Amino acid sequence: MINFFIRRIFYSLITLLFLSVIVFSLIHLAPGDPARMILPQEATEEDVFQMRKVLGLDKPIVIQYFNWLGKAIQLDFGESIQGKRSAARLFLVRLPATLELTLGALILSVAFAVPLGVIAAIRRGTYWDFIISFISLFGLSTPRFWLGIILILIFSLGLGWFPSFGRGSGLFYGILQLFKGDFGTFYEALRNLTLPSIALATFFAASFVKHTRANVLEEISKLYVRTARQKGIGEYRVIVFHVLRNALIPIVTVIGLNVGLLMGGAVVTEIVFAWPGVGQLLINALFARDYPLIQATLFMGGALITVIFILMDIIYVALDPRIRVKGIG
Amino acid sequence: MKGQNIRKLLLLLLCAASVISISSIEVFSQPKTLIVGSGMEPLDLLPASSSIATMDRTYNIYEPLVWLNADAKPVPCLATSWEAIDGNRKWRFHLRKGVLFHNGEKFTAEDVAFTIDFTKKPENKLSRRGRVAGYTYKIIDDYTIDVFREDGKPVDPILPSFWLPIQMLSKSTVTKTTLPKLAREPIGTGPFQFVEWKDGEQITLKAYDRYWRGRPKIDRVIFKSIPEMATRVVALKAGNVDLISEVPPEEIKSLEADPKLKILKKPSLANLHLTLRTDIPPFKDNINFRKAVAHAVNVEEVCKNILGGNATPVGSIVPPLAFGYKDIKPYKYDPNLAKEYLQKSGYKGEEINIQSTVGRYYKDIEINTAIDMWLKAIGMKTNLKMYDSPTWMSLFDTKKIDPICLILWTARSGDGVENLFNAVHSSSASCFHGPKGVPGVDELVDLARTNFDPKVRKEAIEKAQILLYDYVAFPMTYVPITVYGVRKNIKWSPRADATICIAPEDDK
Repeated sequence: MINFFIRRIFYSLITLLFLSVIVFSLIHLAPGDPARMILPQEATEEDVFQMRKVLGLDKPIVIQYFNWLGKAIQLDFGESIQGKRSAARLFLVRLPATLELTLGALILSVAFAVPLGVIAAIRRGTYWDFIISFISLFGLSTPRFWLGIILILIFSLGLGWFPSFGRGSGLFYGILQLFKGDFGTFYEALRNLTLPSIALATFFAASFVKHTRANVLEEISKLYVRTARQKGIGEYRVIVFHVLRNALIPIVTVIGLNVGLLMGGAVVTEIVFAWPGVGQLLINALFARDYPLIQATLFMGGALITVIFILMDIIYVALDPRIRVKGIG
Repeated sequence: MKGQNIRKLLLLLLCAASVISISSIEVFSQPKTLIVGSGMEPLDLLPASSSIATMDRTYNIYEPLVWLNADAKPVPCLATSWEAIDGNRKWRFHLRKGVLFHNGEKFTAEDVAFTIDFTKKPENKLSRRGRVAGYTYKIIDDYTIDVFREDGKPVDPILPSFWLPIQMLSKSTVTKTTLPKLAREPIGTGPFQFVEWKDGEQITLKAYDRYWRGRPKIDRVIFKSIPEMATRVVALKAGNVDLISEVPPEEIKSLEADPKLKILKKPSLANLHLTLRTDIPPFKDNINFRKAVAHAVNVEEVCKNILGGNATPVGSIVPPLAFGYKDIKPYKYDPNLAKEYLQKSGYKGEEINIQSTVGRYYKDIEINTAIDMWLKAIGMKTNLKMYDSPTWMSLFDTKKIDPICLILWTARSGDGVENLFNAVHSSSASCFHGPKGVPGVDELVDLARTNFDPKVRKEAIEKAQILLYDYVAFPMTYVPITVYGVRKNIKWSPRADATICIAPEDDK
């Protein structure tokens, strides 16, 4: 078990090293020059040369990479070219907003998808199954961008239930305030989070419904379920404690794999809802060819997803006693 | 009894009048906090920036020596007057007395000198460094400073307004701080002072009590970052923001229909022009080919249908609000005439690239697609290529742009010679008309950049525009109109340079 996790962490570090090489070379190979993006259109060749020199872009790319890697190991990702602040700090300041949105969407999607998936499976071929399949198809095929705007038009402009944009003071701060007896801040944070979370969760919820339905159907047809029923165990207990428990293992894997996609998907949602997360920061950095900020964002984002995958492995072990006994791999 | 009834009626009327007046105050009085829904968050709040997102904020915090009013005419700001002396070899600026920076320090000639030095230093990475390059200064007294060229040549006649982006810094403050801190916590002399920057969300400014023009009536200005236009429009309709810019044409009607909102429009100092590269084939030395393009494209259609009427077709690369603008009619859209010119040009069906930016200019993809379609309609074989902004800038820099390309120049100084120099003068880094430029234009631009007589300058700028029109280097030119959605109770005037300045004169 411990060996497995040590090996897992070692592989993750190698993955991150490869990621750094890919990120660094892809950004530098892409056309566009950060010096040029700082300067106005009328800048002369001399202006551009001077700016490249000041930014250290006149050195060979390999030297630039090793200079960067040497500092990155010490968690120094350099200074954002345009923002003139520590790139890592810029990323970390924005990270809570993205995590909050991802978490909100994840909770929403799992909370809706698992029960709906189970219902669709146990009522296979009925109207329930048809309606749930239709809803999940709608969720899968609806562009997040469009859905976000429609949600704003209906629930913000039309009904006035939720704010049209922004994060407010944030859910994490709202939870802290809750301990001090301030329910208002928490409530406002929840109101701000609702629409973006729904917009982001819809696609993933639809995907999770499909997976849950398929896995529950597979488990239901297994012999141990028939045995349990023949032993006289109630249908509710059979489904929740036997079928769902086993069906959840592959579902958790799918959810884990989708956390990265959720964070990636948050970019569009963040833009529609003016959510101050990492996605917006990354888009601005890409348009400005802000190399240190792009590198810091992608590298730290990659590291975060690697950590999440390791955590998913731990949950996997907790759910499957066979793994606890035998170990993985 | 009758008298009592009249008294009751009067009392009732008085009550009704007070209710109406109170409610009208609520509806139409200027709010104490103004919330601006802004498309992009600035990357820094440094002066001398070329980013519109930064300028929107910093133009409320910092001030230059000479300001441009809403109609792009130079007016005194931190300099009360200025004159060219020593045979036009120096600009002498007389500075305003009694101006205080937001930290309470006095503004003097030392600060102007420091600002010039600070902007010139490459390590400060200021975007508008080029505007002060080659210039130096001499402090005459606390409130007088001379600015002149390092090489002793005559100064630029438009320098006072050309230095609009060179906003004054406090020497004693900036020497004690770091560049990253200055980029986040600016201290200027402007009507609003910096309060807070919540990353990715908003930047808050508050009225400066000791502002030299008098304290603004608006207490706070909040710039909220809302990248998506549809969300900005909804936020304005829902009352979450008071002002948004760059309203798309398709949203104008719905905003105008809202009784709480109004639409404000302002022609800008920008000019978009379809550039034909006359330094390379096929347009080099082939005026018939250039004329074929000029009569094939329909600028009226672009302005009316693609841009929803929010652009004005013009016949020059100088915007109408700029000094020296010559009112020339755009080339007539006539596909048959275009075909005749194409035949005369000796065109043999070779493929010609049209280069389009993606999202750099408003509706650039749609406009370039229409141009591609119009050129194909007269029998040209064209190939539309699209590039994102950074890639396009690199191509632009290395002179690798294609023979047909839509380019924007903004005459930020309010003077037409700025656009002429940038787009056509042979010594400009962005001239695509050969080592000698367009015949006759260099001389006229040089005259307008060295002569101080406004009449001579105006004539030179006008003549240059006529020469360019006849040369057909820019077959399609138009001036965008910036459209703002504003709450009805806001008294605010848009500016020609399209920056959002909440000047104190707006709230009086």
